[in-house]
Amino acid sequence: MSTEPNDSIESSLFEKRKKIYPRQVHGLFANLRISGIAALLGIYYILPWINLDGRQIVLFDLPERKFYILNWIFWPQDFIYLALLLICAAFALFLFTALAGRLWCGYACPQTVWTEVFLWIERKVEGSRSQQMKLDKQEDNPVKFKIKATKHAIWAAFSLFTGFTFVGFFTPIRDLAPSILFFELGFWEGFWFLFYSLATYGNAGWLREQVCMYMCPYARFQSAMLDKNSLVISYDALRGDPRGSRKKGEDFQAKQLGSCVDCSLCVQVCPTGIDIRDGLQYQCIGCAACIDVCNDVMDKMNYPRNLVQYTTENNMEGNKTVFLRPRIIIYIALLVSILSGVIYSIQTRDSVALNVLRDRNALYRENYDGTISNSYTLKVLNMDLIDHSYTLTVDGIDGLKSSLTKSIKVSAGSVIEVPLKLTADPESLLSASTNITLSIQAIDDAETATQSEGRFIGPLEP
Amino acid sequence: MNIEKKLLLIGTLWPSFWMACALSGIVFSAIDPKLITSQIGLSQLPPLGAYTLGFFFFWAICAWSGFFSIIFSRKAINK
Repeated sequence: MSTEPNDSIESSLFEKRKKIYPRQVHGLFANLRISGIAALLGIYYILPWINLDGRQIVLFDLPERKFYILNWIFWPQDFIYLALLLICAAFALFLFTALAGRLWCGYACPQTVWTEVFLWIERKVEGSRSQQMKLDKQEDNPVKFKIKATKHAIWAAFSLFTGFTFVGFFTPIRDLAPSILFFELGFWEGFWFLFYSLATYGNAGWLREQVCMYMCPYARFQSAMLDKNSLVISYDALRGDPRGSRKKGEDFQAKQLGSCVDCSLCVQVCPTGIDIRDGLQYQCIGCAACIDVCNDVMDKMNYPRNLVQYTTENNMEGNKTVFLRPRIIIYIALLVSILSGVIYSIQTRDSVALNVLRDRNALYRENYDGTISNSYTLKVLNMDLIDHSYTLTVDGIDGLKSSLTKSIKVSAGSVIEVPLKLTADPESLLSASTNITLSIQAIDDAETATQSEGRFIGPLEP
Repeated sequence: MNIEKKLLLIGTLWPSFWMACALSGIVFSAIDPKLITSQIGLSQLPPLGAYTLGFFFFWAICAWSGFFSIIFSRKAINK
């Protein structure tokens, strides 16, 4: 078979986007979604304002190259933890998708969360779905302009607050607030403040469902993670069809109708504007708004609920649904092992690091008394949340003398460089290069210690 | 803007945005941007500026690569 796809023909097949006016919905899943949105927005907007020991509880301090999260400090060398956490997030996404479809999209995705807020603002300003549609059909007039301007002003204010909070994760938010109020914001902070605000305004205010339909890669491959035992939102066609309107209490079976009253409310509440009765579609974000609204209609008609419901393909075919299946067990095992490994590794990681750099200018120096000296620079990194003083010991050569007479004091979360000269009697040197071990230990905490290997260079024939 | 151009724009800018995020994380965790800016005569640039320019540089090169991938694959199909 030969086909010659033609771009212009293909592109002409795309229907021009029609604005979607999702109808407000109430019910169990709407309440769950609103609770999830409130919790996530609460975390996002409140977290940077919480301080712990005088420091922001979550602060990604890029200029200092330190990430503060709870009572941990992460350094660039801890990037592996971030990579592992991202892998965990991916496995969690696979697990929840295999179990219950697009839970992430419907309840927790930032696009869903912020779009819900923008829709809520739109409803408060422009009114219900039908009022919004009526307003958009009107010719331009002062009242319409005033309503639209109010909506966009509130959207813009909310976006700016969102952008401000985003920058507050990277620059201490308590210093950031006055600098914005008094127009003293740095250029780069200002750039990210406006960039993120604009992204929020554009994505949640204008693009909305188009992000899910055209931009989200997850929408394209989520079907590969579903199987016959995954919970998906589905319309019971056997019970619902043939669809048709009828009066309440009327014997619809006598009219040879199914339970679906064909009210189209399931389409009206859908944020992506699809008809769930056409089957599982990649545009469905799994928000379950159609379940809530259909259950309302079923209640009003005195019909059994769940014409649209969370169900599995096996269930619909009359087979048993198995939740604990090999892929679920593998995902859980991988998640638990990676997460416990990360937590164990973070809890037991050294809170001090020592780097030993040899002086590159001279291999060694012969002193007037015949002894041999080597020079080094020590880099001591205190990754703890409190200041420490460390003592240095050097092993590997008998009678090795150190130029350090005092302890090394390093402030919390800081790194300092210390010059070091080691001096040895040539009689103690067994070869031209001798391995030595430099150890540091906190004076106030014997367990805060680390060591590093180095070399002591002497004459070829000691 | 027709849908074809919109999809080209999305297909180019969106995946490259995520790649730029990942690249910025990997590269800047290994290299302090101060070292790079001092080498190219931009030592006055603040760290946040260096991270920002680095991120947009990665975004631009990934988008450039993605753009040509899409363009070349379209030409191939049309033949």
